[in-house]
Amino acid sequence: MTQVTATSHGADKTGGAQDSVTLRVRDLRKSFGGNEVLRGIDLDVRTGEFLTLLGPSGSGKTTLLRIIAGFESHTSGEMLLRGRDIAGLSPSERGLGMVFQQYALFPHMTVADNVAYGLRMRGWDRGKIGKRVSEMLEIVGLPHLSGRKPRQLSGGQQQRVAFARALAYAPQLLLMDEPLGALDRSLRLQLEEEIKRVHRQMGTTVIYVTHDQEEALVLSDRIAIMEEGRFAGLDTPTALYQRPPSTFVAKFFANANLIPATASADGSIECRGSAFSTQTDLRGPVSLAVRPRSLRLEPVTNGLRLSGAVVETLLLGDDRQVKFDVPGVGPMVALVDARQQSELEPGAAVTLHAPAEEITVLEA
Amino acid sequence: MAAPLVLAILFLVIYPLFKLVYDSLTQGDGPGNYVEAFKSSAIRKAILMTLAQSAAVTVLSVTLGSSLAWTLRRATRRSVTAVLWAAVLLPFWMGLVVKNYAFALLLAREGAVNHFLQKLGLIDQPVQLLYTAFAVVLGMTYTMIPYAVLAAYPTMTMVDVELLNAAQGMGASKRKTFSTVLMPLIRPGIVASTAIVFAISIGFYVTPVLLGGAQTPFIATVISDDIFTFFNYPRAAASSVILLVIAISVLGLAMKAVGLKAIRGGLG
Repeated sequence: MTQVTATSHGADKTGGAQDSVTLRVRDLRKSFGGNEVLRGIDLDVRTGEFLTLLGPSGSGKTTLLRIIAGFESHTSGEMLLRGRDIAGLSPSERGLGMVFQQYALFPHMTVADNVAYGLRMRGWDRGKIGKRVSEMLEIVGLPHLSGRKPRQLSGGQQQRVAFARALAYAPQLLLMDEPLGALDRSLRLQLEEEIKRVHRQMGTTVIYVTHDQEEALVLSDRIAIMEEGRFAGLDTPTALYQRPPSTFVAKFFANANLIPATASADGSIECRGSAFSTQTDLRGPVSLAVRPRSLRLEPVTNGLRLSGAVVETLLLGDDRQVKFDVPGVGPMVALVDARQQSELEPGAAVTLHAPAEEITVLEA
Repeated sequence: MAAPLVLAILFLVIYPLFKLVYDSLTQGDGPGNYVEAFKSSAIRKAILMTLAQSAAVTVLSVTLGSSLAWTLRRATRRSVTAVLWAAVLLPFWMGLVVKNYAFALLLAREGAVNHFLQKLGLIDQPVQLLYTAFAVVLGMTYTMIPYAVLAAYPTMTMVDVELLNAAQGMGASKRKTFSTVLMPLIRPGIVASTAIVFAISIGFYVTPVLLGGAQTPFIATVISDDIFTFFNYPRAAASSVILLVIAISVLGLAMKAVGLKAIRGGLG
């Protein structure tokens, strides 16, 4: 496998503190008419990291990416690429790499010419271009297809070419806009692995847009979760999943159940007849985020107890997904060991328990 | 079901064409009609004039028409596209004679254009605008732009705009993006547009007569004179066939360049 480093053809490294941040975004805003699409985005993308913008459609993630690429204008705010202000620059002057959802390969050019495009625009000589193109096609596993036209390739192959094309000139920052969105599931899993491998191999800094939570979990060093033009959370996947910072993140990203409760002065929580102690600083009405996996059938010493009626159960291999209805709270989901089969017929009464340390207390 | 259509095409298209070619070769001096046509300085001048002016009209119409087609492709505001489409299609609904008289009025010695130029102080005396090659090219271009737009538009709608972003994202300037990505992709539409505009232009009759007068004889004018003034029907038939051969050659070359599909797409 050919080894290519991102910095070998990138711009100068300026050294010092700047070195660790590739892109700095400050208070970025964008309005369409009277509609605020981005409401003050602050973001430091660290050099070499894989950062994902995750959010439902309409949350502004694609708009943010396209503003960084220079394809759309912003209303106000700062964007610095390695300390250099890029806000006023055209896309061609920014020198970033971009992978589009619909591939955007040039249909009139061969695979090799597509990959060579950025290098030609940079005035590389023919010999160097040819060498780099075969290196890149080797990396994405398509060296035998260099003479084909894009329409002769499958969707997965086209996206690999697009990936090779965007990385060929070793951009300081690679932007990817839902690149796997148009592919089927098995191909997606395969390409996820490949993207991860190439990212490790080339060390490129990546901003990746997706609405698929699993994709974000698998690929990212950090995830920024977007909600209505703002970051609802920005952290490592583990932190976001286990300690969601807001009810939106808890529900959208961690698939948690949200249960209203009351926190009293000593940090103890009262919820539907059960009480338990926590470390929370919040007082008064709160929301408890409880992931399906944290709910179990065995009682716990310090934790939440929920009683309800089973609505339906679904066998998912080792786990059994139990949907149950808690009167006054609504539908909940639990994941229990599939071997614990008893008393979970639809309509049956069930009591589930969650230990305090697996419950996140959030502002209501 | 297709039989009536085939009959109609046979009688109304194939037969007259065949009869035209047959007459041009058998009536009068037979094949000598062509020799006579090429020997006539009036016809030679008309052929050259027709080709030169049609070429000028084609360059102007295709340049302006494809820019307009691309603008239509990129415009997102509905009000803008509505106004542009109206501007493209309105000349279609105006009669040819009406359009030409409008230009005749504008370009006359006492017309609006001369008046305006004098007001600006650019000229002292009214200049000769009407009955010049300039007037003919202007009037014909105005008539042909809608054809150019409609022929170029279909290929333009097929261009994925994201490709232009992709090119610029990879460091291509606007000019480079145009020459390396946009132009190769819209080329079939441009060729179709060129072929259609040129083929229609060389058959023009009314505009050269009304706006060019005696200065700009087109082949169609000469053919008409041969039939109605000199009663030389055989030579008119030969000239008609010459005109036909030029038109077919142009379309044939275009088809060879970009394929029948692009031309047909352009014709709707």
